[in-house]
Amino acid sequence: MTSASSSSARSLFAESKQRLAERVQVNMNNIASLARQIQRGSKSNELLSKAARDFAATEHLMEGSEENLKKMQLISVHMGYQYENIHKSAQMLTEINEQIAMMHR
Amino acid sequence: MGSEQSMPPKKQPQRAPPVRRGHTIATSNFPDTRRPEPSPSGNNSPGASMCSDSELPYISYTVDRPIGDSPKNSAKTQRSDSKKSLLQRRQLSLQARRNKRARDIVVVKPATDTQLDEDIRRLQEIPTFLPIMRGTLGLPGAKDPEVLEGLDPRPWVRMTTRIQAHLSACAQPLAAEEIHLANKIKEADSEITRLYSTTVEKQRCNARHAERLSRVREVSHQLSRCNSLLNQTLQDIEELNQLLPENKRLEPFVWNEQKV
Repeated sequence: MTSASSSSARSLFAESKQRLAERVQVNMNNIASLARQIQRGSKSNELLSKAARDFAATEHLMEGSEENLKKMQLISVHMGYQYENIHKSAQMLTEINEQIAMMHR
Repeated sequence: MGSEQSMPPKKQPQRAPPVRRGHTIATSNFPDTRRPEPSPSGNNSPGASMCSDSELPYISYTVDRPIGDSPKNSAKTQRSDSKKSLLQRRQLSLQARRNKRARDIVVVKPATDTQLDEDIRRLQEIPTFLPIMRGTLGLPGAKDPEVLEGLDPRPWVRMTTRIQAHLSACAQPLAAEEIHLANKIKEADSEITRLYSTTVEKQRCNARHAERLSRVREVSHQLSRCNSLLNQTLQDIEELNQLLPENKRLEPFVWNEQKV
């Protein structure tokens, strides 16, 4: 009967061990739910994720702004040229006015 | 508790095989199928781990030489059941045995010297302890007494609320700052678009003015050429006037002073 005794001996503590494991599992679940309550209760996740989403939404705006700024730089260069032209033309205009006055006499 | 499970030597001639811990067979009908080495030490307290399944001693005695109900006899009828039921049956049979024969304690051999026996002394030195799970002590035992006894939840509650408040206190200014930054970016973007449109308008006006001025320059060039031609024509008219006779001379050419 040693075989039967050893098999029954092996199962002697199985139920106790199972119950102990259940209790440990219950404790672990409680700790985990406590941690989740801490995290959810402080709403830190929601706040930070909302702020990050808003920030990411402005990226499109930033692209447009960068493009506009580059165009404005080009336009400023063009305007410099035009200013030079207008300046020279204004000077020439005064000279030519003097010439015409001379011719009239 | 002793080195031999049955003390008196008078019982030895009844058993053919030698006494061995954990493997004694009461009757010689069943063959010895397993015979591992006997423990070399004389220490007979059950091993280091109380929960070892491998060699639980004295099982054979409860199975084969029961005082009351034999789990072997009931196991024969219900051997196909699960191990859990076997354990329950063992517990029940133990309890039934205890309840029925509480008065009939079979004394194999009365204790000779309760103080000198080493095992008895060691057993008495063990401090009183309770198992981890109170439920296995007795059925009407305490239902989770540790919740009532020692654990005060107030420090835990205080600490966890404090952690929660700390997290939210850290997150809220951060989120506010980030949202503020995003708004500022939007404002800056709108400002940039407005400036860009203004600049484009100014550049268009500038282009118009520059083109007009360049036209004016051309007009002035032509005007100067025209003036020089006029001068030359006047000279030619003077010359021709001189060549004409007196009575056919024109009046000297006077430029009509017109305010330009």
